[in-house]
Amino acid sequence: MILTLIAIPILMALLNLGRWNLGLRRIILTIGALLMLALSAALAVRVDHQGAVTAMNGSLRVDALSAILLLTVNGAAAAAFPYSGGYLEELSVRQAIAPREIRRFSILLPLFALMTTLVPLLNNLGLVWGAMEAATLAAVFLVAFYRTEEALEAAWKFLIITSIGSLIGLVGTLVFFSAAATIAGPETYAGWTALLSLAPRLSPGAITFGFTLVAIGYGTKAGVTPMHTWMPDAYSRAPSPVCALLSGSELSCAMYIIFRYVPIAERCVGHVFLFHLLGGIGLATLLVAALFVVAQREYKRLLAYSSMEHTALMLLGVAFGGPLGLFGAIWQLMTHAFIKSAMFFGAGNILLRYGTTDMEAVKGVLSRMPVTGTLWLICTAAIVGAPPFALFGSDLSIFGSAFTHGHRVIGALTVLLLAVIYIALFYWVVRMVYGEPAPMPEDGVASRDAGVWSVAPMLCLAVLALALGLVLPGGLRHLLEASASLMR
Amino acid sequence: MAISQGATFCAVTFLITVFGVLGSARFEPCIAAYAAGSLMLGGYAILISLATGYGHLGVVAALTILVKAAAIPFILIRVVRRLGTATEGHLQIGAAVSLIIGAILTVIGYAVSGRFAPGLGSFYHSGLAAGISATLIGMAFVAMRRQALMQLLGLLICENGTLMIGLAIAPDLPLIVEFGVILDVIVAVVIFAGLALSIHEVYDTTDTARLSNLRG
Repeated sequence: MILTLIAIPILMALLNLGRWNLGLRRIILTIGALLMLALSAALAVRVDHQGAVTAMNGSLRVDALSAILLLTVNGAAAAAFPYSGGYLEELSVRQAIAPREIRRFSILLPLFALMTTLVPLLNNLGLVWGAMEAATLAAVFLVAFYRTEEALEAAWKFLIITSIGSLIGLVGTLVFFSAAATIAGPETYAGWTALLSLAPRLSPGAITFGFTLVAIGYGTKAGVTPMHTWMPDAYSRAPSPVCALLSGSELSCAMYIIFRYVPIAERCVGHVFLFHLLGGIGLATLLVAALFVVAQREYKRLLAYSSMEHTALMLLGVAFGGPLGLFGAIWQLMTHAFIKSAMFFGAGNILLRYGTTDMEAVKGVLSRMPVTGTLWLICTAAIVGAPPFALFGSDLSIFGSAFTHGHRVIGALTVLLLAVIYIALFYWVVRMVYGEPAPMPEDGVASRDAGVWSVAPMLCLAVLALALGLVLPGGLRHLLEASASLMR
Repeated sequence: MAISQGATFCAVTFLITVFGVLGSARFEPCIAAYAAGSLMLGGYAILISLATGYGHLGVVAALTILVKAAAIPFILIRVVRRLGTATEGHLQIGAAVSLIIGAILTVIGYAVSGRFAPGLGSFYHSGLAAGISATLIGMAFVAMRRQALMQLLGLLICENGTLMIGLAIAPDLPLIVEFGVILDVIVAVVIFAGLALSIHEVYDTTDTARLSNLRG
């Protein structure tokens, strides 16, 4: 089953090598992504029933935490792939895109999905690094898709800053390797599980250093301060389905890798170190996100800073620790990926109609695009963690963990900064959604709401966010709890 | 003894090539210095392989020399030729200042190398210290240069430094990991080069100072 999961995106990429029209590519991408999601779900059920599943002599391994990430990345992809088809179609009505560009886009998309699927599957920290880096490389041309000055600038910044981040992460990985090598043979320490069992005997000095590098290095891809500067640029200039994948899949993968290192560091050097490091990084990131959300003028950049805020919350959840904090962090990882993807879909639909990312210039979305506008408003409520949406539960778990572990000041500060971000986010979105729309040329394209392919993925994700907030299925809850206990 | 001296020689020469890149304003000497540094990295891998008996390091050395001392410099030289004279490096931060920054980072590299992997034999220490210094200098180089290709060279130096650290502190790293890293690097270079050419097409320069539309 694991090997089939890897084969599907490869097959999708190969099929898209052909010179088909967009309609066929869209069907290939949609069916492939849905199959990947179905297989991930089947794997998750199996892990829930019988524990970790392995393949290829243990080189590939799925446990509860990797099952959660598989569901997350493939859930986001299952929405983003059909949306991409709709987005490209609407885009080609408005401006000329060479078939070559569409072909490259639809080949790179499944390759990106392949890499983000390999990250949770691989049971070797070195290879996980390779898969993460390859995902970034696949994303570069997706970010540069429009080939405008700004798109190229964003892609260049993305490449340079995340490459430095990943080299920092690689040095951190090497430090873990070397710490393990000094007490065990070369064959035994390559996997997460083996490294975890060695953790109490590793050199605390080396692990302190290595984990700091890992947190900053992989954190770069998740937008931690001060390595976040690529994020608003890439998110604002990349096509919206790519933003959804960067925020839904790549960010989640980076956080997952940090989560994997957490129990190793905790067993070796104790929780106080983790609290100081991740708490410090998380709080600084949250502060920067709050400042920029308040001062923001472009809605896609607004969403980028909102992603930073969620990265910060996940780190804070781990820093506060305990079953509640870890559960909250993992739950946040999953739900954020879904809802933020839906937000980017909405942003894409709006951008295609209004032709600008300037929030002052976008008014009356609800009256011009009733379906997109309504869904976008609902998704905004979901992303700020309003009850009854799923993010409400994860936010509450993280706050609960802060106060039960006696971190009152930091907990209160977190709540305060979140309140600022949420109020600002809502203020901007409400201003865009309501109000009188500026007169637009009635060319038959600009005046219509987005098509089914552009709206249905958004609707599915919004319904999912609501349903998961109302009822958390027993199996999923069990997997989340098992993941949280894997991180201790 | 001879192997140990050889390893130190490779590590030190590797660091000197990094300074060679740091002190030059023109692309081609920079690329040549990078190729020479990669050769020294390959030599270091061979010596570690001889000293430890890890046969797979021989493969790592061969791959390093083939990819980093030959293929990547070849690609880079071709990109430079295609871009023509418009891309002659113009230094924002002069060679002298760059070299001083490099010297400071080298001192830092040697100072922190003890903390990195405590209890490491002196045999590996030269490689570790040179690796950390090169990684730091590479990062500084990316920040100090504005030319897209120069920034790429900075990243490549950084990556060479990382590999040197890896050879010094984790020589028994599984081959597949090293293979993955090298594969990532070559893909990255191709993507970088493609992007640099696109930037040149759109902006008529690869000076990244022109890339300043996105703020805040």
